Amino acid sequence: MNGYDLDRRTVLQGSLGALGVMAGGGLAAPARAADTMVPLGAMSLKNYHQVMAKVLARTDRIAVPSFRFGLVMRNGMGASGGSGASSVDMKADLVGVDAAMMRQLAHLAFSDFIERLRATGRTVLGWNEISGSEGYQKLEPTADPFVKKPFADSRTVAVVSPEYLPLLTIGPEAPLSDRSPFNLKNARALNAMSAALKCLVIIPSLVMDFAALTGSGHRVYGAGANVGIQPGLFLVPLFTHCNFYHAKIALAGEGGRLILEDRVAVGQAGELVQTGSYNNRAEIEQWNTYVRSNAWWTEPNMAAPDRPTSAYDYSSYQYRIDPGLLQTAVMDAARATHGLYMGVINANRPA
Amino acid sequence: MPIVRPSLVAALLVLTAPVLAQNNPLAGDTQAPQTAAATDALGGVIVPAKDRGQLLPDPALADTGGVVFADELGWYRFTMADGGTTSLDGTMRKFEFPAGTIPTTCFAVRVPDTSFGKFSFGQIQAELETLYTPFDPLIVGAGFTIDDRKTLLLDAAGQRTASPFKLLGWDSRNADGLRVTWTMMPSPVGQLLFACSGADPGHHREVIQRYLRIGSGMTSPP
Repeated sequence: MNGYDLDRRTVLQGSLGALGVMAGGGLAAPARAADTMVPLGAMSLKNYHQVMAKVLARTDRIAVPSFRFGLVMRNGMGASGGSGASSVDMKADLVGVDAAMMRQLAHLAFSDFIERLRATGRTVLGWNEISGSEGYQKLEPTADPFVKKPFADSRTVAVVSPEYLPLLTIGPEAPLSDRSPFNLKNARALNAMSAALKCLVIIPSLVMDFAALTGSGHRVYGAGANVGIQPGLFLVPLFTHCNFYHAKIALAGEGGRLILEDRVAVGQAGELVQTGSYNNRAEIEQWNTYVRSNAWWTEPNMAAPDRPTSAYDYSSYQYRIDPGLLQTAVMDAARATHGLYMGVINANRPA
Repeated sequence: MPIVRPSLVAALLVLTAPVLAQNNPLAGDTQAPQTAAATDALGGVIVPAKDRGQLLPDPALADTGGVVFADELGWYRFTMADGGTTSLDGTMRKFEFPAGTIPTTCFAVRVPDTSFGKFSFGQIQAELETLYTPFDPLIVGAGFTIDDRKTLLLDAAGQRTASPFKLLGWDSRNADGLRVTWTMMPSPVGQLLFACSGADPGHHREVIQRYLRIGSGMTSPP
């Protein structure tokens, strides 16, 4: 756990050593992060929001024309206190992963999904049937890898599909989508596929983050500011979901979703390394030492240090991936999520 | 003189690592649906009484000569994907088979015991990690040094429609260098000890995870 905490009051009054408060922030942050964290082994359907799961009971036939796997490649957090008199900011990058490696992980996760889907006893459509359908021809794939920094979100996410599958997004995937909610082309194409092949269309999405960040926000009257970073792989709520569609006619159909609602801790797959820090902690410490020493009273003629007018700390981190551990973690996460999806698919069988 | 940075070397190794070929598991025509494994409410595989206690061809692995053995009491089912043999040595059921190219031996021992009878199956699974200490002496007593304790999750194909089960897992070695991975499945009716030896712990664990299934005899005894 790493974290920084700067407090304008400690800077200006010298009542506490600012560095000491920094450590305090570091300890306080993980408790907040853990509030909404679920270990992978304890993840259940209670952590998912189900919408229209009954659509899964429309037919035994299932087509899976795409699979999305995403990693948060950059994350950041900033906080300030006292209307900006103290500010902390950090950014963290995921390093050691390239698009080819992500596509390989997507392939392994997709293979697991299909193996489990077949084991449910449903008919899983072959690629000849899927790719030969009119709906498939109408699909507009997204460029792979798809990199998106959602609006008002510090995360930058890269999404891929296995190299043999198109990367597909539709409006409801927002904010992890390249289409506007009014762009219905892919939704209509999936409906056309469902109607022509008389099947359900399922597209799962698995997205993982490498750090849980916490921050105190931007305070006007409160003096303190802190940010914390807890490294590790996490399933990202909202971005991790499973969409399914069914249509009787190509023009319109119904859809449902299973959406992860809580952050799920998967494990470690590398190490967090601080690669840069720009701050005035030394200046603050010098001022605090001067104030605590009473030198201002006992040595009135000494040259006093300048009183800092603000406190700041800008730091950067890298989460350096071990490829073997990443693959293990991704597959653990994929197996756990797919197992839950299969439970819902089994519970909603055609009569 | 150039500075050699270990992190840079590691990053280069990552980028130059060969990426395996990807084969679409959906390739080709639509296949006939599989028969979903019959399981009880807790996820235990239901093995018909007529299929128990004998080595039978596994229809799902017919192309590789796979065989499957279901325990007489329906406590477990074990698959040997490339064929193999089984024999009974006292109370110990022994399996000998090639796993890939590695000759592998596994054995299973049923230990009827109602020590956990007052707990539900779910409670035992939830508290499984706390049971390493009481069962450690079993491994040490057999002359093995414990290298690692890591829980296994039985969730590979064949039982994937059911709730996956967690097993206690020990990687160990004896004075002769023989490496054995032991697993223990505690249940209200007793403990199933299942161990494998072939190559390394990763190999042993993969064999157990892929091919051992817990039967309804342990989860819902008659």
